[in-house]
This record gives sequence, structure tokens and C-alpha cells, in this order.
Amino acid sequence: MRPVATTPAPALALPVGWRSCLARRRIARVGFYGLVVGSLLPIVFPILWMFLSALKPLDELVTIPPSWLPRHPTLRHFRDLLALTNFPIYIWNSTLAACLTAGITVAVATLGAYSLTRFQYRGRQILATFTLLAYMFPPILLAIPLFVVITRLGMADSLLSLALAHISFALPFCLWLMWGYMKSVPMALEEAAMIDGASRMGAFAWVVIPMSLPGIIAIGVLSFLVSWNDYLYALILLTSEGKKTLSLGVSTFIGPMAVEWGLINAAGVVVTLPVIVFFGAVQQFLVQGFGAGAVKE
Amino acid sequence: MGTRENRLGLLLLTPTLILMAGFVVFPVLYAGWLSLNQSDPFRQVTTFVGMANFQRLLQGEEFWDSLRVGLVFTAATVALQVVVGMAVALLLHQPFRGRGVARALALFPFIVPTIVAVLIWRWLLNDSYGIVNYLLKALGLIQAPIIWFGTPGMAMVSVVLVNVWQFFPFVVVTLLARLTTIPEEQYEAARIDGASAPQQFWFITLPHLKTILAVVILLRGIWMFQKFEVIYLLTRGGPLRSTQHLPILAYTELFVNFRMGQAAAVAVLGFLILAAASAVYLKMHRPVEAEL
Repeated sequence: MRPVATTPAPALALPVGWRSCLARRRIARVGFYGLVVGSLLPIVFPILWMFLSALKPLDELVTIPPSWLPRHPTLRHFRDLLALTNFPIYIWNSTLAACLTAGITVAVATLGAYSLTRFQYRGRQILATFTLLAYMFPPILLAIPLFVVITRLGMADSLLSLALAHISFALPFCLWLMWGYMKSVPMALEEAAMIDGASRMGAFAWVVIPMSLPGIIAIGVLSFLVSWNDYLYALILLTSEGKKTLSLGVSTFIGPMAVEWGLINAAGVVVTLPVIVFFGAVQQFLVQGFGAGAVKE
Repeated sequence: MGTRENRLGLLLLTPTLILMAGFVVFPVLYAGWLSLNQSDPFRQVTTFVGMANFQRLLQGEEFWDSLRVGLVFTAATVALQVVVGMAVALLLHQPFRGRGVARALALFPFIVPTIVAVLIWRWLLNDSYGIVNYLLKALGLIQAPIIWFGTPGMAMVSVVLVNVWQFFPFVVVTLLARLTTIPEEQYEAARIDGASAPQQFWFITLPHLKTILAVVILLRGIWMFQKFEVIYLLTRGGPLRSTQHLPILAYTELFVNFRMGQAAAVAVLGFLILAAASAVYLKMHRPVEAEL
């Protein structure tokens, strides 16, 4: 029953069976997107579930079957978190430690990387190897002696000590990234500046730093996140409630007897949000870094 | 002139050197010294005992139990991370609309702070109200709710699950970067010769990824073997020490048993095992050395 002569032959002859071919391709396309969504779901759903749970009132959190979307969304848990717990103190402490870490790491790593790329002296290769090695030292191997020394010096329970520990953890990696970045900043421009009368450090401040800004921002964000995300050093170095960081403070919420799941999920949301924002800002750089240099680290 | 220049260079490097010396080199050496001593961290009495700490460790059961747990945990998490990471990387390497978003989403677990990953999963795997138990029950896969962190076997499964979820994106990112460097012509040639997709994977993709896979396995192995936070926060090494690996043993020795020398000895032994394993691994995979 094929209409043979009724329709004129198309000007551009399509291959026989093109209709089913297109249909098959469409099915393949849908199937492919199904596969993508299906694999992303277990990756992303846990985080999404935290956001949804944070917005549900308590009784809705313990119903079976559970409600998927919050039926009566509420910000109560966020209010309770800020008003009834020490959460605001934790936020402040974490912010302070992370800013200290980021500020000092950026300053030290930028100067160090400049020195390593623009000056000639022996031992640079040794330092390169060592930064790699340092990155692989077990944190627990460093944490135990650091705890002993810092306690004996009477410097425990201080956010500065914590920040210094975080810096030691972030510095090798950041120095490595910055090293790679500064190598790509052409030397001709600073030489030109120096010929025009700028001092070495003047050229560094007015030429090299502006040109390295993307790298500087990236290591700033990275070291901030190292500190923000840390749990081990905070656990070992901090003792008093007033000094606790977010990770340490929130960990006291989730003991085996935890029941305040609304509060806990809300806390998780607040801890995660700045990470997502910051990470979004430097994602491109990081992915490149991971690809090009960071894997070689 | 030259020396003054170099002096400036060294001056700029000084802060880096001081921090590295004070917070990396010194602690490692000091850990070695502590492991040869017996002392109370809160009273300042230290007695040199030579290898006694190591002797006691190697003769006791706890060290070997923890080492075994650590090896099982490391092998399981690394294997699963590589398999899952490879699958997701191959998927996200295909061109499709929304690929950038999909790649960013796949990275999410890796950037979430550890404490958040832990609280998310404690909630998902909650015995009574957790969504995972509910779904398994609704699908008819289980009758009674699973007590995820309650029995030794399930506790290990749970900590492996959470660690794989959090750290597999590292494998994805690393492999994606390498996948883009494989020349497209090789696939075209293979297609012209009639190679199927699995054949293309086996004969083109995999050989290109071989070295980077070896690097990924080494790095992930090193990091998982010493990973402390996730297990500690999920199970504290329990129940019945079933998830207690070396880092948790070291922590327990110091902060629960107050045996500083013993704790340092555990940390040092863990490090030596790691270093030896890495050295052997690098010998076996020569090209990896160039990659590092």
C-alpha cells in the first residue's frame, strides 16, 4: 500500500527508510539523555535532598512515606539555627580562620612562586620535588606532632594556630599551582617596566601581580576552602565552644542520638552555600588546573 | 649585582621555607622522635624507649586488624571510584547539550565539605526515616530497615559507599582532561575499519588512558589509605573496630588512651607502609614516574 505515483519524488532524494531512521535516532537521543539523568541522579540527589529537608517542618521529616517536595516549606530551622544554637559563633570562627589562611597563603605562595620563576639559585628542583612529597604526607602524621608541640607551647585552642596548620596544608599545592601560572606570565613586560625605571619589586607589584590575578584568585579561593572544609585539625587543636569552627560545631549536632534533622540539614545548607558560590567562581581555572598541571602534581 | 639579585630571590622564598620547615618537615621528624618515646601528652615527662612502641604494636592484634581494615577499605573505595569515575567520564565526554552543567553537577560531591557529606548520608541512611531504606522497602528489596552503621559488615559497606560518592569526581575530572587529548582521527579510522564502540574503547581509549589511570590509582590509594574524617565522623571506627583503620587507631591511641608514643608509632608505620607501597608501584609502572 505504498503511494507510489501520488506524491512527486522529492527533489533531494532521501535514503529509503529515512523516517524510521530519524525515529531511531530520536529514540537513541532520548535514551542517551535518560542515561545522563540516570547517572547524575545518585550523584546530585543526596545534596538536593539536604536542601529539600532543610525546608520541611519537623513532622514532615518523619512521615512515611516521605514527602518529596516540602508541603509546607518553612525557614524555621534556619531561624532556630541562628537564634538558638552557637552556629553564628561557628560561622564567625570559620570565616576568620579561612580568611587568615587565604590571606597568608596567597602572600607567601605568590612571593615564593615569583622567586622560583624569576631568580636563579640551586635547590629549586629539590623544592619542587618536596612540595609534591609534602602533598602526600598523611595529615594524621602531621597532626599528631603538631598537636603535641602546639599544646606544649600553650598555643592550642587558638584560631591563629589552626590557620597556620591549614596554611601548611594548603601551601604546597598553592605554591605548585602558582609556580605553573607565573611561568606563563611573560618576562618581557616586567623587563620593559624595569628599563623604564621601575624597581624590581615595583615591577612585581604593578606588572606581575595584575597579570597573575586569575591565578592569585584561584589559590585564594582554594586555600579558603581548605580551611573552611577542614575537620581534622579543628578536632585536634580546638577545645572550647567559643573557638569551634563550622565543621567541628556541626559535628556535635550529628551524634548517634541526633534527632533535630531539620536543624542539621539547615546547617549543612549554610555550610555548603559559600562553597558552591566560590567554587563556581573559579571552576574553570580549577578544571584546567586539574587537567594540565594538577594531575602532574 | 648577581648575588644581590639572588639574595632578594631567597628573601622572597623565606616565608615559604619557614612555613614548610616549621609545619611539614619538623612535624614529620618530630613524629619520628615521638615514636621512640613513651610519654603522656599532658604531663611533660618523656622517656626514651627505643623501638618498644613498634615492638608492642607489631606484636599486638589491633595494629594488624587496623591494617587489614585499611587495606580492604582502600582497595574497595579505589576500585569503585575508578570504575564509577571512568563510566561517568566516558558519558560526560560525549558531546550533548547541557554538558557543561552536567560536568559541574558531577563535581559537586567532591567540593562539598566532609562534614556536610557525612550529615547528608547520615540522614539518607537513617534507620527509621531515611529515604534509602524507604525506597528499598518500597521496591520490595528489603523487608526490615537496614541498620546501616549498626553491624560490622554494613558499617564497612556504608563508609565505602559514602567515600566513593564523595571522591569519585576526582577520577572523572582527571580522565576527562585526558580524554580530550585523544586525537579524533584515530576513532574515525577505527570506524571506517568497522570497529564497534566497545572495540574502540578497548583498543583506542583504554591504551591512551593507561598511564593516567595508573597515576589516579596511586594518588587515590595514597589518599584513601590515610583518609580520617569520613570514617571517624560516620562510625568512630566501630562497631567492634570493624571500620577502624590506621589513622583512627593513631587518633584513638593519642586522644582516648593518651599514649603519645604509640600514636606516633602508628602514624609513622602507616607512612612507611604507604611510602614502600608507592615505591613498589612506581617501579612496576615506570611511565608513571614521568607523569608525576
